[in-house]
Amino acid sequence: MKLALTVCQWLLGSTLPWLLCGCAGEQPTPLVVYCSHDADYAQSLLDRFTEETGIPISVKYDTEATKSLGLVNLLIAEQAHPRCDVFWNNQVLGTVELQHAGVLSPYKGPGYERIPDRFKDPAGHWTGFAARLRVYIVNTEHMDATEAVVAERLTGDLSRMAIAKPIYGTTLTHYSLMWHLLGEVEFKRWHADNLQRGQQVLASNGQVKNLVAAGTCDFGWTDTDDFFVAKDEQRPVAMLPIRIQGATISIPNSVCIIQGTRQRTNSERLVDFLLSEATEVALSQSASRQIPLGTVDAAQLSEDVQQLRNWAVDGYDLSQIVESHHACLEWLKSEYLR
Amino acid sequence: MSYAETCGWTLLNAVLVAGSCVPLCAGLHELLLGLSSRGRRVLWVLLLVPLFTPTLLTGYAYANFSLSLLHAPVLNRLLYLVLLGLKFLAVGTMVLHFAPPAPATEAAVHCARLLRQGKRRMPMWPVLLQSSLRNLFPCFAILFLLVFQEFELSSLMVTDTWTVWLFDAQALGMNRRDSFLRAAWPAFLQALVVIGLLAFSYRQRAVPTSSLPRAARLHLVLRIGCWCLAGTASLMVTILPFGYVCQSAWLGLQAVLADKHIHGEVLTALIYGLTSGIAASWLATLLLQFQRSTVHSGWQRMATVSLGVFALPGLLGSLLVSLAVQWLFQLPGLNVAYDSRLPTIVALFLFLLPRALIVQVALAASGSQAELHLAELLRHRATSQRSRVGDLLWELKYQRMFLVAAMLCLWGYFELTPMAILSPPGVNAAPVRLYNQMHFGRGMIVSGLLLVSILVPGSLFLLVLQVRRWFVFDWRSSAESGTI
Repeated sequence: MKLALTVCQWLLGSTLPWLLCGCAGEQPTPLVVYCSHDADYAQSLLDRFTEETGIPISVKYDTEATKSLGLVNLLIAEQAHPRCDVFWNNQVLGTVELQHAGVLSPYKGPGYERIPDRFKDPAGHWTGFAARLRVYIVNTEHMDATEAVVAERLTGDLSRMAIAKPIYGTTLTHYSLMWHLLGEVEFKRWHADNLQRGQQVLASNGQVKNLVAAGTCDFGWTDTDDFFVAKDEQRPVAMLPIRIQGATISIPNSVCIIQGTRQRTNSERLVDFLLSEATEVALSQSASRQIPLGTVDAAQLSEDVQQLRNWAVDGYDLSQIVESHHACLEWLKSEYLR
Repeated sequence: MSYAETCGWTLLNAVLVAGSCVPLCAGLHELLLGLSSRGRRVLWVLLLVPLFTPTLLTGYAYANFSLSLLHAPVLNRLLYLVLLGLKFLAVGTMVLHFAPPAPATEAAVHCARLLRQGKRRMPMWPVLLQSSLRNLFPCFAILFLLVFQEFELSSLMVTDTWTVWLFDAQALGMNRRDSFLRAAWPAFLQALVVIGLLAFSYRQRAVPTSSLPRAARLHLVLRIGCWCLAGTASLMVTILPFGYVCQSAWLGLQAVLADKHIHGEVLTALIYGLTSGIAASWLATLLLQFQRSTVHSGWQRMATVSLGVFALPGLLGSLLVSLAVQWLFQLPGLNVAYDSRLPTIVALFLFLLPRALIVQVALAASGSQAELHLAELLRHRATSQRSRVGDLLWELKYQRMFLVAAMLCLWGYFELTPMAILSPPGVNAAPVRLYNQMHFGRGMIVSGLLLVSILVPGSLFLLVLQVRRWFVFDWRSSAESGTI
């Protein structure tokens, strides 16, 4: 017992300052960034920003462990005493929700100007950049990756088609758009019909990609970044953009400044950095092949990204579907939370 | 699937796994009794390795295979249950093996049987309840609790459990109040089991135990079966997943070590695990000592219930504990520590406390208090004997405490939810990165990261053991040369 007590006392004595100091030891005060983009790509960009400007950054990343419940909910919970300065979301709808909750502060800098209107808030509360697309991932050993074949498969048995649970992430955005375009009654009928025909519902887009790549399912819905993981592993997969009434689903990252930030100038510098051409090009050259939304030198884009860019032009303006998103989410709650 | 159905399924899972594992653990216990010390050591290694294997590793390795069983959900659930059972075999076996001998010996049971055949028929059950069967209850209860609480494996293997359901509910924006109300029922059920266990542990020490452990009498076929079972547990839960992950370990290790952030992330997780694990282990020991030292029966009951109350928050699962701690540290007064690592430590500590209590209860019943008392007395006696006291006390007391603390620290080290939710900005922990890399399917990085994440605490564990050896050796040399 004495030994245990001594060990505890020693540990407590040596770690208490560490426990309580958080990140306060760094000088000068770092800019606090909440980031739901993949840490592997985001970190190198944020490190580059620090190198260029000398402004240190403390990042809190969202994780797959907490999915979307993480940072958006956290920012709302911290609204009275914000500690975050800049939020880099890998989606738009959550950011729009923050705007409606009064969490965001508007800013229109040079970065804002280079992004097309339908990917940003007119008042400047948030700005979109570097998008991904919702796509059909198809196992080419099991079916042809053509729009006609996929359309035919969608009318029959769906037990070999996989989607992620629509309660979070990009599948929720996808569902919200379906709700918006089909209307409540038709949407519910469509959803029930899909399930009745055996559509497989998995935990994540990554799992959809794995199942299709392995041939357990023939096709499914996923995002371009997940698709490219399978493609880079040289799995037998191809992709087609998902079109609803002719529009594709292009989901940009979004960046915004938090109301009450204590580092306004530095926050603005970071926002401009993220909305710059250099950042969009860097993200398009990463393994996830994010699609630049602003003007960039086309010569710097790979063939994959050029193709995605053509599809993204037809992307639906997601800021228009916020009400449908709420309605859809409420209905999903009643379905899933019984 | 509705919440009530999911709870029902989880309950059924837990009863099935615990029910099937109890006889297997009893067999392994019998096998252990008949083995030489070397054989016992090998068998313990085979059993303990799966227990110490991070669930993330096992889950990751089986995730794709599990997905391939999409069209056969029953098989998938069966695989999940088998993996859980194999992982927790060691816990059940430990409970049975270290529990004190039953008050009713085999001879007593035999006599009761004989009496039953006579003219005055005596009921058998009172004797059976005092026989070696009595230890089956804590074994079943602990296995039940471990399976009922499980989250990571069920999440990675897409199996419906109440913990996964609550996670999804959170993702859908269920508010804290509703989440806690929903979680109250499973937590209440677990609290009942924990209180039952604590009450049992108290009664256990009140019963005089005079019989000696009996020799094992296991049939050869069963002996072989038990060895195969232990081997299968190691193979399925540890070796195969480790082999799967290590396919590109060298390249992964190079990539991970080149990352300038990884050292800090592993250190962060290590300190989270160490502080919360040691604190939980220490408090559990203190609480149990208090419960055992109270004399008045009313106080004893109160102490037992208090232990259940202390354990209750952790029984809600790490997700809800983290959300509650987050809310707590946003309140005025406590919010000065909100930006620190303290909330993460507190959440991990609360999550680990019931586990610490359960393991301590199981192990407190083991070993002879008389032997320990004699060893303590020896410490104050002749110098020539004192040189061996360190080893003796280590064997009888500190080794067990150390192993319990190590197990809790390891659980804390790999528990990613509190780290993901509560770590302050700029403080990232290795398990969170690991989980994300698993999600994105970056096999090479996962291999490297897993190796680093396992090797660092493993090396620390071995280092502490080695330091103890040096310390004892040094102490013994000094004692023998008469300097102490």
